Amino acid sequence: MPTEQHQVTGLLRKWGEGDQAALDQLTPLVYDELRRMAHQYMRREKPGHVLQTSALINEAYLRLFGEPGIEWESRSHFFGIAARLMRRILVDDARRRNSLKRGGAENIQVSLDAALTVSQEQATNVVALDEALKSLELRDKRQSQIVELRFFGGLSIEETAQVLKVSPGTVMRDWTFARAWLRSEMTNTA
Amino acid sequence: MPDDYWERLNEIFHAAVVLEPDERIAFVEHTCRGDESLRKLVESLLESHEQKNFVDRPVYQAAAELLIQEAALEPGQFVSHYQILSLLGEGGMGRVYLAEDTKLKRKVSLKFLSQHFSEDRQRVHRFEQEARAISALNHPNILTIHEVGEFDGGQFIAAEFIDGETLRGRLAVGLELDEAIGISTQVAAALVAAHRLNIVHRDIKPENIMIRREDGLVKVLDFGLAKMTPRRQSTAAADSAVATALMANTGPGVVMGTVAYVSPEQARGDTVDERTDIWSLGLVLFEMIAGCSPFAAGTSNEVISAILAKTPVPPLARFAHDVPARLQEIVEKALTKNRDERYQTSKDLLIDLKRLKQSLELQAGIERSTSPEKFAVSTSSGPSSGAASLPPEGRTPSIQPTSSAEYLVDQVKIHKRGVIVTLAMLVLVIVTGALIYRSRWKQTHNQPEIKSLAVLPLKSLDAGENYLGLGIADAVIRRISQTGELTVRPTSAVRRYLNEETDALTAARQLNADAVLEGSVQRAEDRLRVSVNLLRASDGVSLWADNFDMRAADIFTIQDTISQQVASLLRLKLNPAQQAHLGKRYTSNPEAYEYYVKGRTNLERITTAIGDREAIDAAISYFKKAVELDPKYALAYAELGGAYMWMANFNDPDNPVWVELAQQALSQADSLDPQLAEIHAARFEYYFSKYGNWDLTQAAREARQALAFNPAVGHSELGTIYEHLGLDETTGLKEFQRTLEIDPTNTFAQGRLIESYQSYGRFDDAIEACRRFFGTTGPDNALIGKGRLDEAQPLVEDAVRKNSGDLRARARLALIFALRGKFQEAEAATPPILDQARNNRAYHHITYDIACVYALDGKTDETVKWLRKTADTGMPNYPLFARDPHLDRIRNEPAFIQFMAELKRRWDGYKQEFEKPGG
Repeated sequence: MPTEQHQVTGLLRKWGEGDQAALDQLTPLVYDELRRMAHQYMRREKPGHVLQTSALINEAYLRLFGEPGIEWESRSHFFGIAARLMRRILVDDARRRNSLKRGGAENIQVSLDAALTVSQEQATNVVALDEALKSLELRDKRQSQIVELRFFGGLSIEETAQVLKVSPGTVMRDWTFARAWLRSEMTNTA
Repeated sequence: MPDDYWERLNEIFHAAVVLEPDERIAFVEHTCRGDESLRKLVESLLESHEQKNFVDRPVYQAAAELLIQEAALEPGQFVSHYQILSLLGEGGMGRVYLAEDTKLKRKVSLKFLSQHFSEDRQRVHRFEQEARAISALNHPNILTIHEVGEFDGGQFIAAEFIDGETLRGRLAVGLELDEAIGISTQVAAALVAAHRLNIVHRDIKPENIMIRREDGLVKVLDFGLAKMTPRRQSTAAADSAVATALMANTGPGVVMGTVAYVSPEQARGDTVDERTDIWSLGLVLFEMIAGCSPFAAGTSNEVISAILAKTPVPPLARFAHDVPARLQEIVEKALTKNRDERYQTSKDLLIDLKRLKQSLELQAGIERSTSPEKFAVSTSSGPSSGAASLPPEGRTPSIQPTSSAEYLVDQVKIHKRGVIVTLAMLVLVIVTGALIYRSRWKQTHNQPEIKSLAVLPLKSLDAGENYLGLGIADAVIRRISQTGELTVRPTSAVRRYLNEETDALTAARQLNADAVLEGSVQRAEDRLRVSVNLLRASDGVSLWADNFDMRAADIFTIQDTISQQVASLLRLKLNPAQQAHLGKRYTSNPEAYEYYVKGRTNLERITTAIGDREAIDAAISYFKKAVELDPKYALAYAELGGAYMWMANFNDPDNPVWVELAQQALSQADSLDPQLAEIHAARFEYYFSKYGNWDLTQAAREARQALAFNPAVGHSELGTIYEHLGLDETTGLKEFQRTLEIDPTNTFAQGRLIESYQSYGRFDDAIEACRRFFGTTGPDNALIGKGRLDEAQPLVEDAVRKNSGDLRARARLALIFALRGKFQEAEAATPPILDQARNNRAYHHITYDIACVYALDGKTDETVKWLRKTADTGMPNYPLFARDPHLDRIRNEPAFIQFMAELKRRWDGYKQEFEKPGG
């Protein structure tokens, strides 16, 4: 096992055991890996191909750990980190664009740039979503995780269920509620 | 909000959501009676639930797109071993930086291309090989591409940085006749080099010609990048962004190449060949003298009409004074519209230009004393009557870059501005994309994959510096072979070229290598000048050539660079661990390294001549000096341990001190660097000997461990164990065959393969291999096995005559006597053999032959005694004992049966041990 894998596995374990510092070390490693995978992916695919975030995370995961033998705990931690990263990347970018466009004015009403090929109808207000998600997290951690994994990580219901070790039914149920709650929260705060 | 409130909210929501809308209102009102805020919240949630397009589809591409957006590099940042100095420019195509190559202390330009330019895989594939050929052109007048590297998931090109200006810039200032001819001559020389490889530039123009400030050396840029034929509209049109861009910018009438410099055949859309470049160079030459292009005429269409028109180009005399008649002829011949009447080869043009240059120089020498008048470009504002009207831009340079990097930047800017989007430009983009798109050799179609490499000792240009060239080769061999991605001929195989005047391609053929690296090394005071050339054996094309001029202490950097470059050029896909092998330094002390290399040199002399005491003594003393100078030199300790082990097993087996010393050196090596194959190879020698009690299992483990650390070390060791146990023949033979794949010239390995054929009872294969490898009839044991005693006997007798100490031959002679029924003679010979053989490494082979002698004579007890000895000293080869007809006479004897039953149990244990997964 190459050193980076060793490193990541070890850090995942530590983090799983509650070592918060491990997460700080882990995040850039996972980030680098995702970047690398994204580049490879884009080169491999035809232009215009939609880069599936879940596929990306899966590939990054497989590349880092290989298929068999890795403990389940680490796997869900990894997916959790990756989805969180995706969220942060998007939110940071949205904030940056926001400050560019509005000359730095405090205004969180920034949608994703059309150039990023997110369809207009789905032009979610990422920053507002992020805020709402933070509120949700205070109320129901699992629900916020589900949204993070599904929306930012691109995981399916089944995958999300596997990662969180709950039944798909629970994920579906939580997802439905969380979705409605976030939407409602964002409408009311706006 | 309290938890139970949240729970309740969830429950109410889920209960309501399954109801029909009209039922919901009543349900919510009923359930939330008395709690207005709860009711409102639930209603809001239900309303939100009905809205679509909210987080329904994951932000798939958005985040991923952000992931692949490249951040600008900061000065000081490292890209591989290049340190960014400054951003020279950026545009739609990507960014160009000025950087320093920190290894070789030189400036380079680094060009990164935007992601979307390198996405067209197919196109990129098609062009890649050609692009590589260009980078291999290695001509002083062609801009050198140092490396196509990978960084942060993207790729970049590191090219030579030229401090100078383009010909376009120079044209603005005006050129003297001799300068114009000098530049043309150099461009022609570049064309000759390229055309020799069937590479047509297609876009020779002043912007693509750089003149180095320092010495006026001309460099043709983007050489051949324009050669590739772009796909026409008819083929699957929208296959890529690039194709789309191509289409968008190529309306009817727009053709390949910068419009003003295209040839008539390009303008017509005909196929192009080297005569196209001749035309373009003719135009450039014309412009250097006339100060403008003969076809500069406003719009693109007008220019093209002028190019296609039958009218010949106007004479130079209209634009400049004192144009030599010979020059006029050259320009006319280069600019003949019918290409069949043009210069047919760039070589002819070059010869004419050189002659002209010489005659002008000669003339100038004569004239210098008589007339100071010089050739001058006409300064008259317009052409004389009849010439096409010249647009002012004809002499106004649009850009004036001062360096190759700036050139690239300017191209980028031009592209961005959309001022001159020519097809050639796009092709440049595509091909650059091709360059940065890397794949392995096997993916290219026309050339065989490079699977094996021979690194020849670098020729020393100084007396007494042989070790240096060999040392560099040795280091490169070691590093690359350890990656396991390429079969590299070991140092022992290439050593002979140190003193042989064999050219590299012949050596490659002799070594059966797909590629060969040759070079030279020269020491000047404290500096080293190293030049290397990597050639493809199939066609002699140079894949890479470079010179390094650096401090002698930087010899390790040179080794690093060469290894990295070769790996990169041969498209080895290396994981980080393999990369680490490539860059691994075993010492940083050049003097210690020198001793190490000398030690290795001596060691390798011995493997082909067992018993050379002088060589092994020398090797030991060199390794000792190496570790004295660098006490942390693990590899030297490992080699020292190996040398001691050799002494213990072969040269001085009666003296117990060697094995002690070996153990010490090896444990020292192990504590410094536990990942050295050499340690385990030496430990194999320990376990497969009397010192290690012939522990075959442990010996095999050591061999496997060696292989794990260096895929080139340990095959013959592992094969030896299989062979001596008579275990799975296929695996056993494969290990020896692999040794020979690594080094087909290794006679030692050839001998071992033959021997293992015999051992497995494959006599025909042994005889065939002997004929193939050595051109002789043999080997003795196989001939004996086939009953060809008359042929075997003289061979064995000859061996004994040559060396009475060859105990194996003497035992075999005894066997032949026994087979001929001369038992008395055979048995009389055995006691002295056995007496002398006690410490011989091949003891088990000797005792086995003697056991056979006794078996043939029907002496069961003696047979069993020696068979037992054989089994206990490294050869418990149950299948051989069970199969060998020489033992048949006593096969039914109870003592033999009992012995075999015991051995079988033991052997089954080995078999189990070896055949268990991963064993």
